Amino acid sequence: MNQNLAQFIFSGTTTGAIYALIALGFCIVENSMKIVNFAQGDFLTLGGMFMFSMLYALHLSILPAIVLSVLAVALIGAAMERFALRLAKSKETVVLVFITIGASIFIRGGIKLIWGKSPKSLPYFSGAHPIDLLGARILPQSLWVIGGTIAVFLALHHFFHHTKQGKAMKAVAYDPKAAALMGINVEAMMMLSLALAGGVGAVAGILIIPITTMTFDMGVMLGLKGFAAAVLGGYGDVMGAVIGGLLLGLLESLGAGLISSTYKDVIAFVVLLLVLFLRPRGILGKEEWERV
Amino acid sequence: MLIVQDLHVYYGGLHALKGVNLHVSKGEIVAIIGRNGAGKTTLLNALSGLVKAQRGTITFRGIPIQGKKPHKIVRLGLCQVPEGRRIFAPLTVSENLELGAYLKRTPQEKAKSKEDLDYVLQLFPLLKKRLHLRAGILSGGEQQMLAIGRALVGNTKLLALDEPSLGLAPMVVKEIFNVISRLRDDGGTILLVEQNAREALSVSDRAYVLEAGRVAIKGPSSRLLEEEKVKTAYLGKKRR
Ligand SMILES: Nc1ncnc2c1ncn2[C@@H]1O[C@H](COP(=O)(O)OP(=O)(O)OP(=O)(O)O)[C@@H](O)[C@H]1O
Ligand SMILES: [Mg+2]
Repeated sequence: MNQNLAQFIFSGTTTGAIYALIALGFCIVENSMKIVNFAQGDFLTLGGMFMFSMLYALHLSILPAIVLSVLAVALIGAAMERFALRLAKSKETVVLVFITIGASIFIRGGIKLIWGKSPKSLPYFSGAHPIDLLGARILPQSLWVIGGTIAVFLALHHFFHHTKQGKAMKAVAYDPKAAALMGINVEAMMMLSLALAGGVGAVAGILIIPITTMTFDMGVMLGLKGFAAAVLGGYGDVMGAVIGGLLLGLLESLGAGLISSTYKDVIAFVVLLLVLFLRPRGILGKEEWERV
Repeated sequence: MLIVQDLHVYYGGLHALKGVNLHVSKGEIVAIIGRNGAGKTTLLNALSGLVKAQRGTITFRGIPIQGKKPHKIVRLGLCQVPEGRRIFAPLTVSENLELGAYLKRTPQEKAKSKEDLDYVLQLFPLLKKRLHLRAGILSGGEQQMLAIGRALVGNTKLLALDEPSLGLAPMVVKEIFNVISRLRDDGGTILLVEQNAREALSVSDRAYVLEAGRVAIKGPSSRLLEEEKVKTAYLGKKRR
């Protein structure tokens, strides 16, 4: 029992870390454009697919494959801002969010066309031999997932709190006109944020797909889970995204393990609804004007 | 320093600026007064590149700037303090000031930035004590000071102020106008948009009266203060 519990906690932390990474992607775009980017989940799939091609078509070794895949998806994110969001006549939130939904469908179509419908997998970074830890057996890949999430979190936290560009990005989200009057290139900032979101999405895919395998439409469900995690933590807050992700992952894993795995996906959304009822701003959510 | 010729701005079918001509020379304070909806904010936003001018030319320091992106115009040194202050409420006072100096990148510029910050904190000693507070919790007057300070820490050659006295208590208004004349004494060039005509005319060298998108009256401020038309329409007994 105790051993099982440790197992559930570790697997919950691993999926939680992935939800956190996706939530961080949502968070970045919120912190520049104040919109929900529904293509975030598809960035993850794209990252995995590029990685697949880099490894098996171009025969690159793992490190350059990762770097190139992340850059490729970052570029696609930037292109999405430049050639879709920026060209919108109306800058109303509803319109922009709708464009992200369109982009999501478009990306999924593209993936299906290029990589096909059959499920694919990626190799583990470092071996398949489970490690024994506190009575639980963990795949080394899980440690990569958790470590990768921590690294991305620390980098983003530093970016938004301690760099001028990060603060400028938040200023753009809060008031684009006032930001422009500071000499900030508002459009470039938005493009940068979509590129970052793309890169973070790709990292999530590259880390998790060795454990789960991938299909062209896996981004839909994972995107929703990541979105739920972001809302849970307090939408737009970097720390909240991580807390929300871990909480959701743990709840799912413990719920599935201790209650029934039939309800695994339901649990996420029940928790989300409960949070929205009880604390609409999320766990770390702040008042509109004081959000970081 | 700034020359505006035959400037037209439309919002859809609404003709908001109907051929505005004006100029500002180095070291001058020029006031623009006018009622609600006269087009004052539209004029400043056209100068800053925030709204598009359909016709006319804007020349700043010898460079045509109409059609340029806002951040490029700021880079040239035309900085606007927008109506309603629009400080970044979630950020701290010092972060707001940091963003004011956003364009300062080179080591020399950064060194200058420190000097400018000291100057701003000397102009507005109140801000010094609030540096690490969130800007959103400041009072209206403090927010206005922050908004002006934020524009002054940039490479500002011309400061455009949009109704800096709006919604502030008389005491604070006086303080803001004191700062404006102090800036003039220190050699600053200022374009001041105001509805508070009496104060604006007292502090400025020249003024333009904007009515329904056109310059209706212009001249030295001391003369406008005495002019009948201005007196009855803008300097009436009722003070805002
Ligand atoms: N974004 C906009 N879209 C459409 N019409 C606008 C817009 N902004 C201003 N207007 C209109 O343009 C005209 C000029 O407005 P503007 O804000 O420039 O006046 P103002 O002199 O600054 O007034 P106030 O003293 O109230 O600030 C008004 O009739 C206003 O309704
Ligand atoms: Mg106005």
